[in-house]
Amino acid sequence: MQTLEFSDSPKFFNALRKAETLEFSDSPKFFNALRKFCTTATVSGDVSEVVTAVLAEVKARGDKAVLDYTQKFDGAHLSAHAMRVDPAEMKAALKSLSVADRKAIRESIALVKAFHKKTLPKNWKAKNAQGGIVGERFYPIRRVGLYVPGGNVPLVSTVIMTAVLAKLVKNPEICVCTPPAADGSIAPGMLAALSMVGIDEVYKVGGVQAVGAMAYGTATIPAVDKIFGPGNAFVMEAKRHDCTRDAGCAFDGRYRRSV
Amino acid sequence: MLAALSMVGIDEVYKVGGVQAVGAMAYGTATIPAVDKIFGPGNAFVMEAKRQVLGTVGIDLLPGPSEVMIIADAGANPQHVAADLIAQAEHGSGKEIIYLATTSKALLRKIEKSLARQLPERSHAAKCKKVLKSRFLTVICKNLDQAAQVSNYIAPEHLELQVADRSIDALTNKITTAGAILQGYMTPTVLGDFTAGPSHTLPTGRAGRFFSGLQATDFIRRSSVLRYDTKSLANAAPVVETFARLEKLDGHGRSLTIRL
Repeated sequence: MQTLEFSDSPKFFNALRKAETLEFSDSPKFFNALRKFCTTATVSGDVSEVVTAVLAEVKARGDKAVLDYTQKFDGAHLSAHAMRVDPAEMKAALKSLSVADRKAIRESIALVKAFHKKTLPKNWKAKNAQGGIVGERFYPIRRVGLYVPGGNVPLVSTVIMTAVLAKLVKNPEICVCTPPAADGSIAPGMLAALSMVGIDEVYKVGGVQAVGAMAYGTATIPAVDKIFGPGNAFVMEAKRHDCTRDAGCAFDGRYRRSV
Repeated sequence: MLAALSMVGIDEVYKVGGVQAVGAMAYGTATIPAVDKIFGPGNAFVMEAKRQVLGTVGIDLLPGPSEVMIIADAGANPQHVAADLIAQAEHGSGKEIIYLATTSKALLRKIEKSLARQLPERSHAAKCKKVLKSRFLTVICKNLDQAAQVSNYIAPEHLELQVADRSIDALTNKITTAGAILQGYMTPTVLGDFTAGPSHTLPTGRAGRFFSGLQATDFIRRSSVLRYDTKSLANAAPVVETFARLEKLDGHGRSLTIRL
């Protein structure tokens, strides 16, 4: 990404115009300019160092490290027990939504489910030319962790776009981590959406410490087999770092927005 | 190797190995243009290099030292089991890992005797002996259910079910993490290694919990496709408006309502 410092001057706007308008030509010059504009997945040294340090702490000190970082980064002072969202909290959140909102969320859930049902692979078996039987079998991953970014607004759609898929294939265990607000709460809209999708294992943990907890496991948060979901540069680097190391977690790609 | 590459129809081959090969393919050099995704096994350094370039390019699974797990019931032929264990130990890195889960202690004793008899006959006997001595774990199970539980924890690259025909389906249904499942007394791992069909590039080191064996679809990517018209757009409006409000993204909502 090109960075320009704003000034209310013709010079600035000329530079801006230059940066944002490219005329296509099938030339190395054009594609070099295009490449410059596209962000790459390369992570700056700072991010990588912070992530490595936080993950090491979580791995070594478990819940204690997770709680320390939750206080440091999210400003929330929680106990290990309070990390897990209480069923009563989920229930109350569901009631906080209007009937119309719940209906809209239900409709979205149904559409996402119907789409992904069509994409599921089927077990198959066939005789090969030597007369041997060969085939494939598909299974849900045993325990998955979904990361849902936090913020002031509930990312209801992010919940649906990940959790509905996991529920569809019936992963035996599905847990969700999302960062708490400073008062230790989670946006009720998000909890309501999670509840409507049928998720009941939700932790108030965000950022790199959430990825670490799900990858290595803590006394409160059992380790998962694969981590899903979007996040900021730090969360993404943590996911990359954990890929097949130790507890190992596969990386599931790019995301529609970072928060 | 060049002959095999030629027979498959590959003509762009570079004499570059190790971390420098992964780096060249990921970032591109004047001679080797960057690729979009890197596949294939390698030593610990190559695997770490693949892990570090993930994001710049895609990678397949991260295959490490080869593994086999054999689940054998009392009816398994100890000589066959021993031969399969030796075949696994023979791979050559010295880091191969071997698991045997059996419901029969008598069979285990016979397998041990058989190993002692067969090993000296093999050309890589010394190497195999080393692997069998230090990287071979036997688990005694009361029943096949327990063996399946052990296997699901290990997520073995290759899993041989050397069990009676009548037990195969029920046991297979309990397996949820193996790379390749080789069913029955007459299906040694070597069939998958060389010929049967499925790729022998399989997840190792418990990565089978979240990775699967290489498949043609790993070389493919997909896009989802959406197309609405005025009528379907109107149908979607209430849902979109609700989400836009809940997520406080009024620009999102407006991009629909402006079309109504």
